[in-house]
Amino acid sequence: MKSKPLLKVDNLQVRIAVPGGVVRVLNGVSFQIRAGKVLGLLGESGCGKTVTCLSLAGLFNGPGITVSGNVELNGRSMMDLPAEKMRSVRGRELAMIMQNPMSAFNPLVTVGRHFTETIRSHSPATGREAWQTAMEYLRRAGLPDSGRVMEQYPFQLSGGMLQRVMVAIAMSMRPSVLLADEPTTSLDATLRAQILGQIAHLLRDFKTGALIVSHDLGVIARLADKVAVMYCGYIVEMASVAELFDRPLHPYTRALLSSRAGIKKKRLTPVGGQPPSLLNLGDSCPFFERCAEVERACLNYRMEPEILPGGRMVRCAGYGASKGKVLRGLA
Amino acid sequence: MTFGTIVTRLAGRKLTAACLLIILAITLSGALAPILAPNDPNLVDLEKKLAGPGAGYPLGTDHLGRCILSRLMYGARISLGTAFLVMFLTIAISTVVGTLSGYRGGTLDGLIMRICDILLAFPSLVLALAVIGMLGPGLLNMMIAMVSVQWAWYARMIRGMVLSLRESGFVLSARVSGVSGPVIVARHILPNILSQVIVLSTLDIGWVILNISGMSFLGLGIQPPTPEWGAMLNDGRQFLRSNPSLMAYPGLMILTVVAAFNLIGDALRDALDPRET
Repeated sequence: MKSKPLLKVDNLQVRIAVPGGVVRVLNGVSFQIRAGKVLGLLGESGCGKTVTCLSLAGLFNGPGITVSGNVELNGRSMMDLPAEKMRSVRGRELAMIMQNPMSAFNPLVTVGRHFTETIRSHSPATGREAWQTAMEYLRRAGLPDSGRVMEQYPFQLSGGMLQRVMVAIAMSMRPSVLLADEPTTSLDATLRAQILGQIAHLLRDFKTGALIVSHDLGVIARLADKVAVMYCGYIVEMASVAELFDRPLHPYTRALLSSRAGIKKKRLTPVGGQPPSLLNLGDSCPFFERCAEVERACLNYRMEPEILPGGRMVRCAGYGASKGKVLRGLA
Repeated sequence: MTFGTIVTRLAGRKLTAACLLIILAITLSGALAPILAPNDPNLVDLEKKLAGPGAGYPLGTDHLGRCILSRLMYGARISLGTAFLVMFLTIAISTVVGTLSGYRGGTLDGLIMRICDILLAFPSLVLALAVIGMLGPGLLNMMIAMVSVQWAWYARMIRGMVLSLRESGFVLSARVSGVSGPVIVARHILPNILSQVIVLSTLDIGWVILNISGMSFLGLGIQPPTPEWGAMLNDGRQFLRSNPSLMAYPGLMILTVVAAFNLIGDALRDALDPRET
């Protein structure tokens, strides 16, 4: 039996009006996250991964920015919540781990105060209770010497320790959904594995749903149940991890996967060309010019999602009416 | 960086240490003037007017026979005390306004910044004169005039610092964790601008002292017979040829104090600079 989705994102669109036109940052992003499940969001730099996270948290706003579509968290629409309500949702129901742990902490404030500040923003806990909670979560995140860490300043800790602290802070309010925006990019390879393990562990323990953003295929393969591949603000393909890595359908996914480093490979094969400018992006396929499998149908294709048997989603003309690629892809 | 290292860095330079000692000495002599001063600063003794240095009057007397040293000491109270008060009020007002403007942004920010633009468009002395012209001369009015002119400079600078901090990673992560605006400002933004504000205000306190003396010299600030360095300069003006020391002493005081404050401000900026270890 399928559980009810914790987070339901429906046709999320983000536009930024700039001099000279409109930048279409997100184009109809839709996905669902269920309890204890992890959705990986994969894509190259500038494709809208971070914007997705920030707009889910209601923090992507400013002059010229319009966010439309619907975001439902725990069955409640978040798009027109008043600011104060939204604030209380952030951190408690929807937590986020930031990209760079070194800049995510105020150098003048101790780790402990960062921690208790978050806890006390959401619960009537006293300072002592908040401190106890914080110590416990630091231990769970793999920092056994939590008493000392609590009294240290951010610059006294290493990047890996800070990232653990951030994970601990994010998990301490037992959020329904965790957004992790490239949680391991600034860490070295050995730490990466450890921290990912810790995150996976906590997610499983608390049945937290998560959106893990990364451009690192390894991170996604390790943590995610389902993967969404993003390109130019479109989710071009969504499938379970096994299916996607086994049989990528979208030409972009294929190109992305073949650009991986491998033991037998002598050289990396990059995806050719550059992504188009998002300024005044048309309705047609943004991957058209870089695609190795262009066909006649691509000219008239308007990025309608194609749902394939088995529930996979792909946005590519090749899987439309003719289904030519479906047969080839699934064969 | 601890308070101790800052003090060590400051005192490590001879010039800075000397400036600190000068400021300390003048402040103390002002604070302890009732005990230390040899005479009543307002005691008029026309028989001994324009006397040279001698017993009872270490620096001589002015045209009304008042003790110059005593007047200089009591003058330090007014000059320094007023300057600190003006600076404090200015910083207080502009921190509130600048933070509000920078953190809130939007229409409020636009409105406040246009008001600042208007104030900054005029030379500050001219504007202060205009305010005093409306309110009338006097110590309190002069302070009001100076604060009302000067807050705009600081509000603008503080707004700039707040703007850059608002976009920093730790403010974003505090917002993501659902920390409320006032807490973010109090805990993450204000402490980070504090050191810069302290340096700025130390650099500017010399300017404030100069302005206070300037206003009093023009007869718009402190009214006679209250001893004040600028007013003393004005009093001595008529005797420039016969008794230049009447102007020399208060002038020297102003010069020394302003120079000392500026040098300390510079040193403080270097000492608080985290890049210099």
